[in-house]
Amino acid sequence: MTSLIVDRLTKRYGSVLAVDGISFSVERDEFISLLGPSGCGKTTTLRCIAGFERPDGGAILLNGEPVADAATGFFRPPNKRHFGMVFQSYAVWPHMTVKENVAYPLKVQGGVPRAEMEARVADKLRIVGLVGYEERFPTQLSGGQQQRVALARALVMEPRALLFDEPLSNLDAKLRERMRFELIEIQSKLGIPAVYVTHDQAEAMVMSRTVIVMEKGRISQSGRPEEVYARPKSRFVADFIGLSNFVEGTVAGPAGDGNWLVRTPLGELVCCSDEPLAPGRAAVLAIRPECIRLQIERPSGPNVVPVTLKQRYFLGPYSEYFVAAGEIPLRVQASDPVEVAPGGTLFAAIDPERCRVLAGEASPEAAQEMAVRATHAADLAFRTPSVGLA
Amino acid sequence: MAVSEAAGQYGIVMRRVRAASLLDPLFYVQVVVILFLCALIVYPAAILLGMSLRDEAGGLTLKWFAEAYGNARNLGAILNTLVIASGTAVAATIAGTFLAWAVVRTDMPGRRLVEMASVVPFISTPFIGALAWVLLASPGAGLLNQLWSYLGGPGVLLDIYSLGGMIFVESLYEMPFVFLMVAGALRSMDPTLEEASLSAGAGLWRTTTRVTLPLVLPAILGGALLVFVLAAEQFGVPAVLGTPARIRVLTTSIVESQASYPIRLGLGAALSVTLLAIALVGLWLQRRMLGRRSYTTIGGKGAQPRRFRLGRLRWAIFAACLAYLMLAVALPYAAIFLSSIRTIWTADFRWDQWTLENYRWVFFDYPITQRALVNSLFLAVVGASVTMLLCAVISFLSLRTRLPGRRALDYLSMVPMGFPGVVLAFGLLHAWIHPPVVLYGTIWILFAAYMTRYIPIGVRATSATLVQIHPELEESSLSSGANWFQTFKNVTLPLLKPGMLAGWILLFIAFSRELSASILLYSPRLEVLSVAIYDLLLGGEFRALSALAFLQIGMALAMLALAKWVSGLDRTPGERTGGRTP
Ligand SMILES: Nc1ncnc2c1ncn2[C@@H]1O[C@H](COP(=O)(O)OP(=O)(O)OP(=O)(O)O)[C@@H](O)[C@H]1O
Ligand SMILES: [Mg+2]
Repeated sequence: MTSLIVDRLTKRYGSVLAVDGISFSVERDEFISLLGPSGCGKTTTLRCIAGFERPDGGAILLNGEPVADAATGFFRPPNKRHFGMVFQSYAVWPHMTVKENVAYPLKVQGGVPRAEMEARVADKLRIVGLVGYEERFPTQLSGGQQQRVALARALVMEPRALLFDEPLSNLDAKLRERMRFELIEIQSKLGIPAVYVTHDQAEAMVMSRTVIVMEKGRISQSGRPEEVYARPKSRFVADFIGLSNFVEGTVAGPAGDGNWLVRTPLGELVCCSDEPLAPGRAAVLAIRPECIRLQIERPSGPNVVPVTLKQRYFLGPYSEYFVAAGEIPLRVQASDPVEVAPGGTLFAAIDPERCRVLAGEASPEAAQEMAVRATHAADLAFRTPSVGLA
Repeated sequence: MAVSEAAGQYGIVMRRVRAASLLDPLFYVQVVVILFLCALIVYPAAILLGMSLRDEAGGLTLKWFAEAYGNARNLGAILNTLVIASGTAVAATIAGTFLAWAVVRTDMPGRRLVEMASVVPFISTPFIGALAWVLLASPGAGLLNQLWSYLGGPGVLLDIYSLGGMIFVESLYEMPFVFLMVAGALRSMDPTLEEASLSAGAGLWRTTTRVTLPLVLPAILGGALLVFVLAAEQFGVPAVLGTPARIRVLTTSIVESQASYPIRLGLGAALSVTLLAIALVGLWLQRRMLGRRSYTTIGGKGAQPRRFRLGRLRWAIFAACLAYLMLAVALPYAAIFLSSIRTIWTADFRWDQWTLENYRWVFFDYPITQRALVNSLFLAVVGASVTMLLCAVISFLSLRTRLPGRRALDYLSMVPMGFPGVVLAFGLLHAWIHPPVVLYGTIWILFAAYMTRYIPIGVRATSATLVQIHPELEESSLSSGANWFQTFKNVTLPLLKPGMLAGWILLFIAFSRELSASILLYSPRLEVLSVAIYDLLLGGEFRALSALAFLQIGMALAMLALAKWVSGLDRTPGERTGGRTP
């Protein structure tokens, strides 16, 4: 059942189009993430939903009822929306104790008997694990604890939706990981829609049923995390979520089994595609580093490319290999070690099912532009790790 | 580091802009506040202008201006005002720059003691300073002159009742403003600029005159202009020191125009407009000067400026700085204290002259004192509180909303800086003396005048604190379901408390001793402390007056101690700004 709908939302700041007509919907118990690089309009979208910004276009509906509609000029102020919001800065009031902070929404809304108020505050503090901290002031709490106070405060009013703006970004890695799971668990118990803004792709994938990848105020792609990861539609998404090798080529024709043959500098590769491809058109292939197998002996089967090993870095669970097929650099991640010294020759086998033609990158101009960028990116890919791991 | 800091600040600015535009009921609050400020500032100014351009029958005329600039008496007052203001600006600037340099850039001993110069304006007003200097240097009874004769000196050593005397006293009490501005500029100056000159082969002296001084010149000129304006607006000093010598200035002439017969209000208004113009031009120039200052403050990260090694000169320079503190603080306050506990004012101290009779008389027999104390305390406590609350609302509206008109509000709240107290009082008096709203003759006219005069100081205190409070603290209150009023009351105000308290103390001190607006606005039974002192001055009651002046100084010192104690209290980390900057 759909609960929160954002319909062609637009928000402008002067000449900056911060949000450019985006639409999505969140179901009752769904946890959805807005993901994207800095400045892509995530916070602005969230603030429009919360009511801190008036949309310039589009509408926002909760349970079928508009809370903001640019067409009619209808706008419900944030204090009438009952959306629980957790801010990046926590925004826990330093002049109130933990208990006062959490009780505040009930107090200002009035009509809650004292005993019930106490009970509800105690209940939420128990949920976030802050029993025993009631009388402390926020300055006497750690960052993670303040974060929980902010969460309890958002929960206590029994919100109709939960909104998070990078709430975990100030926490250390371990705590962040724990809080992720706690947040999902709490949300799933409440059965209300949750919108979570982050620029951390791992966080978005772990937590959400749906991720929405944004770029420059628009939605690039949305879907289940597995789907967005496995079938990115554009170079931007493939690059932003996880890592990818990009290879340009021209479609040669069908290759049977619903696959396609693409002529590339690596040779003719068998690829898969979401849509039929006309022979002769330009195509960009995205190949995840973990979808390439390196072997010393030439394996049988399609998509085998001889490569030279340039560098190898051991990262614990897996190793990172930088190889080159002629002039084309490739990045490979594999957990089984391949014992070859740099400069040695290897064979790279690319799984046809995971060698994808990007649907959004078909036009020849785009391919042209991309080719330039790709070499550039690959150059960088060769250099950066050696800096990072030195 | 610097980049990310700047980015962070930019982020906060953007947030602030975005925040709370939704608070529509606030628009009406803002309209009310703007109308209120217009009633206190714009309307009186318009009345003033109107009066200066109308004759008795109500027709348009320039005769009042003709009289103001054509008549020798009035022209003399204008010229005297300019002479005193310029003289004070020059003297205060030279002394203030010297002191600032000595404190910031030399290894002079006792630098912390000399820094105390910056509190001098808080301890007392130039008015009290002038009274004290009468005790010290009036031609007849001045203590220094008596000592001079006693030592066999010929004639009179010092005559404080003179243009020079006024310039001297005003410089003493207005110099700290120059000191503060120049010391600030020197402290924030990038030391590598000087080091570059040194390594280019210029000596310390040449570096100071060719590099350092030119770089802080905007601050010096800004300070000079500020002092010029303050001296032109000064009423207390010329009233005490000029009147006996028949030296008239604009402020005293304006006050006189209200009291003389036949009453010629148009002339007073024309003189007021003239003074207002002088002040506004001065402040406008000052703004422009300080606007150019930025290039000197290329924040060297905590880099210590190079200090001159003064060698043996250090004690001589320290002595010069100490002389300032003697002349501005030690001598005058000692004179006031002595005068308040003696039966007679002579240099010939004898045991049977000590008494508390002055205090008894002034508190119990002199009818005005008790009323004046009650009125002044009422104005200081209630007035400062209401003003700070208004200032908090103004800061909130102009910093935390995007309402149309908030710029006008911001601007209006700074305008009173350009209003001399006497001129403001003149305008308010004639704006609010006619039915249906008659404020004159009630304490509210004083209330309104004090409030208006000090709104800029209050707003600066609250705004400085508000920009340090993360807007998400308020937004989270809104999303908790609180309306704007609950948010302001429960979140904004408590977080503003430290800044408001500091501002409140400043206003309390200012309100408890205001003179130049009060002198036109008080009415019988509605005297205030400074008016009581002024009244005693007119009666020549110097010993009683000293008792009251001493009380006023004591009150200010107590408040300063309170301020220090309070600022020590709120230094608990994190309490002030709350939240975390992302
Ligand atoms: N108040 C404002 N005035 C002008 N431009 C703004 C304002 N707020 C945001 N923007 C612009 O709108 C765009 C989107 O900003 P937004 O804060 O939504 O980005 P974001 O995706 O949350 O980025 P981040 O990950 O850095 O938080 C940016 O280009 C930003 O500069
Ligand atoms: Mg953001």
